Amino acid sequence: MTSDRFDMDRRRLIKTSGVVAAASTLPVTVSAQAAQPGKKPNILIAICDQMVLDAISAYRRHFDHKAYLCHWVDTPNLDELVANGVSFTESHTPNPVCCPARASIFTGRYAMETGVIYNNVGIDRKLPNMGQWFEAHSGYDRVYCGKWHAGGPWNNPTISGGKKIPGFDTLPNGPDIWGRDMDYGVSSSVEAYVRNHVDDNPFLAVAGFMDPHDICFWGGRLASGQARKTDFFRLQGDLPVLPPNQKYQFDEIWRQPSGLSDMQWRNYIYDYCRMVERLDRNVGRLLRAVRDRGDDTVIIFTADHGDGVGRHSRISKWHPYEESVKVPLIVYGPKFGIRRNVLDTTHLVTGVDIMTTVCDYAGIKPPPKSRGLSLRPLLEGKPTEWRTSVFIELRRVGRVIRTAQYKYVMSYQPAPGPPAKAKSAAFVSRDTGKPAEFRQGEGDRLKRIDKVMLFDMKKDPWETVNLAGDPKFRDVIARHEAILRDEYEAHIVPGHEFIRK
Amino acid sequence: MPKRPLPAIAQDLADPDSMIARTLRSLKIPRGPFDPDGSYTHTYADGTAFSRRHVAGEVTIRREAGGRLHIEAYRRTPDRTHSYYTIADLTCRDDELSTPDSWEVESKIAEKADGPAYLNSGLKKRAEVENGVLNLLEGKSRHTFKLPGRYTCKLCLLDAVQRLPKLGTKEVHFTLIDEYDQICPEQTLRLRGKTEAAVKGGVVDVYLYDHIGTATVPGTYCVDASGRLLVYVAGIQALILSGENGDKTGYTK
Repeated sequence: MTSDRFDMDRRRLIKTSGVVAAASTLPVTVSAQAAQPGKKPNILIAICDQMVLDAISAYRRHFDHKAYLCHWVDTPNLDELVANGVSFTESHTPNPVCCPARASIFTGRYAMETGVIYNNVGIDRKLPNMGQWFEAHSGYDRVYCGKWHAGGPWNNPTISGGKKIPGFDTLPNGPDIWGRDMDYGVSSSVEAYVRNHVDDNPFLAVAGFMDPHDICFWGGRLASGQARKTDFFRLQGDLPVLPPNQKYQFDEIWRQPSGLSDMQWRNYIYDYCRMVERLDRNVGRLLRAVRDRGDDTVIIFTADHGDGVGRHSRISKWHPYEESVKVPLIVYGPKFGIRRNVLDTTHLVTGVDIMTTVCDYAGIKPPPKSRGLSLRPLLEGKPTEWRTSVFIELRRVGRVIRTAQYKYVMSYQPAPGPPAKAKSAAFVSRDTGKPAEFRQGEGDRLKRIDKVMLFDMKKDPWETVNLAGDPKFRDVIARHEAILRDEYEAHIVPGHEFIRK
Repeated sequence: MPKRPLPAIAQDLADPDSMIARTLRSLKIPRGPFDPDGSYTHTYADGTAFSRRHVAGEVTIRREAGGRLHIEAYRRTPDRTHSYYTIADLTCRDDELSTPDSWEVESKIAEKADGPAYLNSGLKKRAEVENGVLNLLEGKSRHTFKLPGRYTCKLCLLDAVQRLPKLGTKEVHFTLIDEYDQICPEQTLRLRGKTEAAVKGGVVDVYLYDHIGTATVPGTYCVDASGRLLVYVAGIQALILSGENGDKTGYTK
């Protein structure tokens, strides 16, 4: 009875909060209309790549510091989603790198369970992805377009063959990995699908956007943005201000700051903002198509992970700080009881909640041992129990526990040796080339690194002071270690390095 | 360990190692005369500023004297059996933005440009601009948008920048419609300068125009003295002239 196990796990993770609605800094302007009885919504997931949570202009009132990107972008379409849906400021990736995050989002399981603990490995074939689950249990038509990168070292699915995502039909798009070329094709193809879909069955459609991931190529030989040590494009006052936490002094578990100059950082952030705006226009096509259908669709907008955007002097992701592990999450569906213009600043949510949520709206049970909670009560303003911590994995063996006030970070010692060469197939183990299948219990052999980090997220939201060395916080650390041990690792297969077997 | 030198800024023609300089050195400039106000067909390789291996598709722009543009763009899908197409017909003005007064665009995933759309992926849109208002018909739905001031469509710029040397334009501000249906305000197209550039078989004069604005990763258009657009580089995207009226430049797939 796997569902019993899930329920038991879930009871350990949650406490009765009785919270009906989280603190909202945005006024509720329009009451939600009643959902049509018996009518299942279409579901449209727009998942982008490497977007920090605060890069939406509608958030300017909530994130008032001028270094937040909401002050430097113009995102009218995302703003419209925010104004007509529920968005979360305590929204976390399950793992701040593409494949592990995406595998978790599309299975509802953590990386330790999917086996995708780093990039370019396949999802354990025993775990159904969202498309397979819907194929088996719902009457939904299912289509995927754009970036997948959740199983194997490839980005975009094909119509058939080894790179077709099981359970989904494919709208093939984008042979390569850049946003400018691919995302317009993704948005207009999915827009067409949404506008043209007239079947009796509802649809589950996924638009996988590349932007703003192009920023990953900014420093290299592709765009060579890193060479912009001067204001090459004469951007002047349009260049963003620098974040206040570029310089900090604490002992990090992973120390990899980038040594860019102030002007280079400002150019980096400027370009990143333009990529987000480009993404916004692609989202706009989808939103308009949904509205033209009469809003018979629930839209979920999110990202796989964030980006350094200069904070902690970081580019890219992989690290445990807010810019890397926080992701936008907006849910829109005014015809289905989802409230409008609600900014939820309280509830700790995570990408694994998406699988459970879409199952809830489709009227089907989530897969056994799904780790997520349905967001539906939060979206509709109904009383619910909610979790008091969020669990994030990173760098194969790193662990983060986020509670309302603190962020606790630790790591095991990774097993030595480089990963074997990736196989260019869909759902195979990177090491053996055989269908991915993982064993339990291997994690017990891992040793801890004798270093932890602890941040007070209420007093120090930019994460500039590591409290771990302060004796006053021993109890806090012990409490978070207990959460990690008892509420997550005891119930989630501790298979950390298992695919190396 | 010695630090590796930074690669050049992709758009920095003054640096011989820049992507734009390297690309120009590989181009054979078409021999015939070029008139940006006349009729022509240009084909651009559409890929990244990375290498020829990463050409994802092509953009072909055919202009008729009087300002009608036919723009076909395709990008191959991972299957390589299909492509993503956009095929647009626009009625444009002979100005520095090739301002479109009306256009029709069809987009689809298909095996070939005139083939049927795969899996509900086909869509047609029609647009007209009157008195600064964009009327857009998307499928069966009509939308209107106020356009503040001057405007153009993204791919019309491939035609428009060719007229800038002749008009002596140094800077122009406008609203961008990306690519045919989304509004991006506060765009600037600005002359960076005129300089010499090495191309295959010689040296030519070129003009460089920078493009910045909302939803626009800073990019540079490089046109020759007659106005012919040779290269556009923005972020990691590059459009590189591969043919003019059937005359190949040497930059091919």
